[in-house]
Amino acid sequence: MEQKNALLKGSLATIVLKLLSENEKMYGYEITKKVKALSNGSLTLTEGALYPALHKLEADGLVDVSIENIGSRARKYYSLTKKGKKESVQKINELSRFFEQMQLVLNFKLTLS
Amino acid sequence: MQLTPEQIQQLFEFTEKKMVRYYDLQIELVDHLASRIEEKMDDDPALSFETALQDVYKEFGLFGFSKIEQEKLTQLTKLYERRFWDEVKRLFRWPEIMTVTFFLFLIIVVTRSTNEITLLFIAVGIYILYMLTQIFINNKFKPKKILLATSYFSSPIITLYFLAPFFVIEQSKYLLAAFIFIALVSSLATLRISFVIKKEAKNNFPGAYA
Repeated sequence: MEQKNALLKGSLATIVLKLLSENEKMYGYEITKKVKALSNGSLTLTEGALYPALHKLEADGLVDVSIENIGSRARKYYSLTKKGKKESVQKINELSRFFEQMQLVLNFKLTLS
Repeated sequence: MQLTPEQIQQLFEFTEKKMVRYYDLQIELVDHLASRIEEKMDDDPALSFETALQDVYKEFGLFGFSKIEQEKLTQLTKLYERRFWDEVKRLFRWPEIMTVTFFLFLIIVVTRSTNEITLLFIAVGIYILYMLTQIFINNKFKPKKILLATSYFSSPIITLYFLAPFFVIEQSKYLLAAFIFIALVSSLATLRISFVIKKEAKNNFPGAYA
């Protein structure tokens, strides 16, 4: 369980970028829900991990922020910048390649033993 | 279901209790809490607002909100530094480069025709002008509630450039002039982003200025 969370933390930025690349804009809780839905509930994102990741993406210029009023409260929406769109493609490819390589390593080890 | 304005207010107070002091950060967290609580109460009508809140807060993990404010401040610092350098680059592109070249020309002409002491006075004068403009901008966009977005922007670099003349005065008046030029460019960049950031914040968070 702990190892899974450590792996998730490293790929969090990529996952968020991928989600944002498929939606015009999303708000924090919406991203949390989508991640849970996509993984059939097995990936539980703690909000304590999500918001720092979003703020970092904002600092790096990959996402833009807009505020809208929803009923009696204000909601912060995130969307990809031009730079973010480019980065998301790059990061997703990096992550896929990483998993392919990991698979090779694990399979290799298995055959040896 | 929709939470009442009173319940939303309770959520704001909850974030304050959990040491989240900045209004813009509170807004983000309150929306999250509210959305999640509404969902939970829809799933289980017997669930009370207070219990739902405690359950949702647990979903933030062991550290709750405590790390979020700190890391947001770190990220904001990075973001503003980036914007500062972007602004400096903009000053050296058309059309702003006209203004910068003009000031450079002015500084060179003045340096050639005066001595170090006069230059020092000019440096002090520019600094005072910079400070006054900064104060003016701060007052023009003064939020009633503290915003993280506008409570940071100090530029220690600028103070350094304005102090430098006092240290290089013995060496060469052109070195002095160079520092004055750098200080001028830095102040122009800082003032511009300070203005833009505060204007954006006022647009995004009207509730903090009401």
